[in-house]
Amino acid sequence: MRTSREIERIMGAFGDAVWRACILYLPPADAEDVFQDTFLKFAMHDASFRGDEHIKAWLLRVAMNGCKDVLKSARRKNASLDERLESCGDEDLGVESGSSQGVREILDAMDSLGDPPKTQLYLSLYEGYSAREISEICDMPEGTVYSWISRGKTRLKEALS
Amino acid sequence: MSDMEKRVHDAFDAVHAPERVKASTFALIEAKRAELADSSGSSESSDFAVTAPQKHAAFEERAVRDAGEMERRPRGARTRKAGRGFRLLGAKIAVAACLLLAAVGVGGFAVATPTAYVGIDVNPSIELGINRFDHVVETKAYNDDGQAVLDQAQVQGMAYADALAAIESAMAEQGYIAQDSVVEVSVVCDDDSRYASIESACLNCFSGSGSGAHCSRATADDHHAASSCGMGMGKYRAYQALSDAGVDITAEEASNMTMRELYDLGTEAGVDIEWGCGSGHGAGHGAGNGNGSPDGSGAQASDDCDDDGSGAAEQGSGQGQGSGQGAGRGHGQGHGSGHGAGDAHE
Repeated sequence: MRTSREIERIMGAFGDAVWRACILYLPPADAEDVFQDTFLKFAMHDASFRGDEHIKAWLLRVAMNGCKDVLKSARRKNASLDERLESCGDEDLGVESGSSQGVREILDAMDSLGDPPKTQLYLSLYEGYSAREISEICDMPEGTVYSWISRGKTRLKEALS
Repeated sequence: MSDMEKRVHDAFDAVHAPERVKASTFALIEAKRAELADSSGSSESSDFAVTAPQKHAAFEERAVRDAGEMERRPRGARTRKAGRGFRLLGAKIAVAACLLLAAVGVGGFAVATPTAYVGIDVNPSIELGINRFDHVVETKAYNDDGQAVLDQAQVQGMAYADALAAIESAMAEQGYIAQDSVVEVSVVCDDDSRYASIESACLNCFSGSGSGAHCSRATADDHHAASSCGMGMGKYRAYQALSDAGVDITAEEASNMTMRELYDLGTEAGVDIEWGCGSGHGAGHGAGNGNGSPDGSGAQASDDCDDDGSGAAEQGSGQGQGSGQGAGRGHGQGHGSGHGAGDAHE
């Protein structure tokens, strides 16, 4: 098991990234579960990493897969993220004061895209990963990633207009 | 960046993992650690990995099994009820772990996290991370000389005042502190009173070293920038001052120079690279003439280095009178120590 010091460091460095990935898919209460699961898995994962960027990609992959597992449960299929976001406060979401509206608009627009391309678009637009890196994180051919990113951008532009 | 991309960035930049979530996650992990430690029949430090091989093996086996169970969790198994159950269990564990957190978790954070940094540059460039309990929890060497000093001083876990003394001693033993050496101490610390304490300890410790110590406060940005360049904070700031003043010097060149050489370069170029306050010894030279009473065995010239310039003949007795001159460096107090050469005359 990894040391408290390492977990603290990694949570400090990538906690925000993991949390953002979680609330991209889930309301805060469920996002918290996945966040905990993700770091617990990291704590128990004794295999070595090639560096912090590798750790970050691993965490995002575990978190996103965890979120998708939660979403696949029957009860959640019928509720949009937008509906579920209505019932939570900014503090639960971890949003800075004054940014709530912008965050909710973006989350709503991203959610309306469906997945794919939501995951691929988020990793490309916000996290800055290349198509090759996204193909590894999402276990998807690189050409398909390009295609989803392109389509996602077009759809997101429409959703935000 | 398009308008759309900017909106996405602005939105997600404003989202941060709530501290409550991070704390509960850390508590959960520490509770798991304690549970695993209990099941293996011995206590385990939260900060350090298991040491006994057999314990580690059992620990890893269980960790892998648990991780595997999480991975194999059937799709749809996480119903709302299950989610609530997990949270309830998580809450119970969190409550149960409160005491553990107080003793281990929070303690672990407090113990392991540096809240101040002290950079020491002479030629060895080293850095100490100090936790809120004033103990050294991180050490870093920016050059081979620094590593040699750290290897000898072994300051990890020491109170910083003791650590500074050990470092000063190691530097002196390894010959890094000559009479004209400059010891540059840079402190990164948010708290004013704590900075004053650290500064005082540094000056006390190094004031007798070489031509004295200069202690100054650096910012977290300085610390980050210096670290990024692979330089100690003192050398980095000297390099910046020289570079800003138009002196043709690269970071690598500055990194390979001693603080004394950087100061001298600054003096030549008319650049003041001294900050903060210092406490130092001046290096002076005195010349003295003494009158001696021979014991009849002949004359002997002496060449001594006494503070007062007195000369003592090896054979016969001589008293010299000399004058020493010293110039203290830095903005502190200086006192001169003169080197006197006394000649004994029959």
